[in-house]
Amino acid sequence: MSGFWIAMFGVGSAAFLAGIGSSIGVGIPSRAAAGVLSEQPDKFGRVFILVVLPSTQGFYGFIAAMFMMMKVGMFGGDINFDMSVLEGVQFLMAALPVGILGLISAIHQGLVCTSGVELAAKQPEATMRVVIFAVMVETYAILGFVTSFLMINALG
Amino acid sequence: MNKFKKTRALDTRYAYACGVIRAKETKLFDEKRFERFISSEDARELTSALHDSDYGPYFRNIDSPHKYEDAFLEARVDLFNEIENLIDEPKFMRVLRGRFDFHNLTVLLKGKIADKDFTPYCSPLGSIPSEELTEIFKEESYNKLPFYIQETIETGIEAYFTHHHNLFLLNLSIDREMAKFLTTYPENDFLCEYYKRWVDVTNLKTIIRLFFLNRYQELALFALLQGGFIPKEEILRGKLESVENLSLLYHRTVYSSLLEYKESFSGIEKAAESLLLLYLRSVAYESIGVEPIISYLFQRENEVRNIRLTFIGKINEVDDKVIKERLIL
Repeated sequence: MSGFWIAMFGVGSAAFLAGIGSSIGVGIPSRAAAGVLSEQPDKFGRVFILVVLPSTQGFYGFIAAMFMMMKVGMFGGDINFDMSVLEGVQFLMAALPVGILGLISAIHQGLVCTSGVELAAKQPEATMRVVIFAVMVETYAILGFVTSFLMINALG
Repeated sequence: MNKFKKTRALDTRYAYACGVIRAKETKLFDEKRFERFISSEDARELTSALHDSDYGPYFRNIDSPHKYEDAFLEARVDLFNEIENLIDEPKFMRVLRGRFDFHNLTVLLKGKIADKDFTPYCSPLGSIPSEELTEIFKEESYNKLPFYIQETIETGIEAYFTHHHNLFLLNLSIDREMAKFLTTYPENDFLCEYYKRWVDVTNLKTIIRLFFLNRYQELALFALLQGGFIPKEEILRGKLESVENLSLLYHRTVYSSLLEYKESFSGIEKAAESLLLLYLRSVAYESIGVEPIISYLFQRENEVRNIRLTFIGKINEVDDKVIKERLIL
């Protein structure tokens, strides 16, 4: 078996896992926001920030996947099909931090943001405080992305 | 008390409904608003004060403040329908509307016994429409009803006829069946715990009342409800001889505040409702799940009760201080 396909599996995992996390993470506060907006349409601006925050993990996963594709030569036309299994596994391992951390952190960030959306309905002035809490969760997604980025960079 | 498992952390089915509810919660009347209502000159002024609230549309249709019950009934019908649309789960609504079904059963059974039409006294809030229930009673086609209601009718009639046509025992029998239904049927831990607390509180109130009437030994077996956290058997085994025994037995439970008021019925009622309200408000920090919706429904019911008390007070020219004392805030 060629290591190239293992590397491709890694590329897919980074985008796929983080993307799943973001879609769940955005989905939950979106529903809560729709509920709040049905009663208080003027709160759109406040709840929008909270709804979009968990979408960033999906982007991190996508960017990491792009880096990996560049590394295997997919954009230059010089694709390394002869990659060893060990190299392929290295790519897969590099994809895991951004993928798994993205998946988990986006869901939890979504829950924090849902609470924030509900808080926005009751105390609009406190919304930005919840954004700070949501950003705390984001930190770990960023750490996952940076780890993946460094690992990909270290690959030959 | 926490013998039930916690809410599932990712039960996101009600996220939309929770958003709606959190926005609606901002419109619940706070203590200051009630103080303003109480300070109204009379019931007419109170009606005007309600015009700019969610109750406004209902009060605009009535020509006299004395018809406040009609307005509240209409508001409650809309509230239950709205919650039904938000929850969209028939099993939940059957439990939330259950107590009105049992009320309607009591009314229609009494009507059947008295051979009179008591349909106007039925509540429109039950899960079975009162017209349908009346028709079933008229035709005596009880098999069209859910099994738990058929059972209630059977036990109610049995209690009435085996105890020398005693309507009081018919009431107690239906209450017992209602408690059994509410505490065993719910699949939601929060609702189940609420009703268990409700049974405990009702039992403690009943015991105090029975002691006051000197009829505890005679009626405890019939009057106490089953299904609470404090088992009925445990209370009966305790062979209570006075209210003081009760205080000694349960002063370390969450119900201790209720037992402090054993000298005043209104105090007991208020403490009991406050205890239940406190439990309902404990879900203030839950962001998803069905709990905030259930909590909102009961809080709105409490709000209606408070405004109704204010109306009664104003119509009967009760002192503002006394009205405020009776409100459960």
